[in-house]
Amino acid sequence: MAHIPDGVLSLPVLVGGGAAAVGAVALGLRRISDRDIPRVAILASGFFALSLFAVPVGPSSVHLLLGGLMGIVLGSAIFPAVCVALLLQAVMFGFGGLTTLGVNIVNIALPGAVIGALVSPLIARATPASAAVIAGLASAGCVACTGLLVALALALSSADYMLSARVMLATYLPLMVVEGLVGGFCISFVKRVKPELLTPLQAHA
Amino acid sequence: MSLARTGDDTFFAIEQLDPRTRILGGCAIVLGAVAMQSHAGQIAMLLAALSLTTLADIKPRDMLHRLLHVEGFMIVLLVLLPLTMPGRAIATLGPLTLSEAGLMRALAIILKVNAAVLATMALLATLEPVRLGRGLASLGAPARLIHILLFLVRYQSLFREEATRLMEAMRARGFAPKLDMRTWRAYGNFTGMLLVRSMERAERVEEAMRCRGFSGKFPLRSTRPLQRADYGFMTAVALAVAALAVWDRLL
Repeated sequence: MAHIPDGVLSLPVLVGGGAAAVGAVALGLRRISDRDIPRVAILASGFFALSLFAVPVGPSSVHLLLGGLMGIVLGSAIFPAVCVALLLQAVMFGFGGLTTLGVNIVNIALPGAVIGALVSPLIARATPASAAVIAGLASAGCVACTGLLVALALALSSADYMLSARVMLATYLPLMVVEGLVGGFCISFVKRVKPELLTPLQAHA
Repeated sequence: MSLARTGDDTFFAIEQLDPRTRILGGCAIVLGAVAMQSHAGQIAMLLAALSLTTLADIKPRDMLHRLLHVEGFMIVLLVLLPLTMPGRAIATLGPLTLSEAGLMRALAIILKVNAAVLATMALLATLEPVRLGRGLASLGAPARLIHILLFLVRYQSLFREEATRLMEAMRARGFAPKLDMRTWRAYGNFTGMLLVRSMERAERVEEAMRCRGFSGKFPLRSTRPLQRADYGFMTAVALAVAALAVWDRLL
């Protein structure tokens, strides 16, 4: 639901999202050292595979957005990672669009980058149990922010989209709960099994 | 993963075009489709995109599959617009009224979205992802971004198989998804395990690449010059999009 297709948003929103995304991706790329490229790229591939995996929720199923987890693990490299993933999804599977690429990058990666930067120092120091709580709240928060940004992109494009934007926002509620729980348990697992995954990427080199 | 065909088609086909031509042409047509304001212009763009899919030799079944997938996102918008936009009422169903303006708006969205999807499918989905990456690089995309793209193309299928294997192992141990904490814990562990495996693979690959002298650069630019067909196609696309855009404004 976070992949806005071509042909829905207005030109100012597309241009604004595109400009913000170019800046953010450039910043993210600059902060990866050349030697870290394989690590960032392979972790991004893992997240990409996870995002294609349907998690059953009762009779239906959801795809995880993973913004919070990516923000915690990848740091600012979330922007190029999401950029490449969304480009491939738009071109290969038809999810999302080309003109909306910038807006979609901002909607998914920005909450992850900001919230990830806030919580990852805490998670690095916390016990597995409290890391799980922090990561769960962060993951749920990222879904909520992505939902708000998608609704905002629609509402800014046309006043007629207002009600649709609200309805769409409501569909993010179940995803918020699922992502919060899965994100929390995931970080608790990683914290016990391979805690070095949770030290910020920039500190590896 | 891509719809690229391996076979030798002899007549003019989109697969003979250079990746750069296809990226630029695809973007031009999608931009044109999105910018159309009149229904006639939108229909013309949809027809143009549809004719490209025949040139790209895309099976109708693949096309339908992809169009239906995209429309999933749109349902909310398409259902609500006719019901909520102010305008002359066409029909009344109890408390609900369908407005003409809303229906027209929904139609415009359907036409634009489908034209963009078909154009992307015809020109870009048929391109192997690796060639897409090289094309983007020779158009000036940052080298690091292209490296990440190429890695993603290489490793995403590997991790998808890994995810399937992990899930099969969970099922073999009696896991059946329900709506309870245990299920979410299992999915959390599954997600975490896949991340740990990605990290471990990343470390191995990184070491192996350093052993072979990787210093952060791949040789990327090995593109051949554009052919006559490329210039022809680009000119045709540019003229068609420009003509349609002018006609659309005059209508």
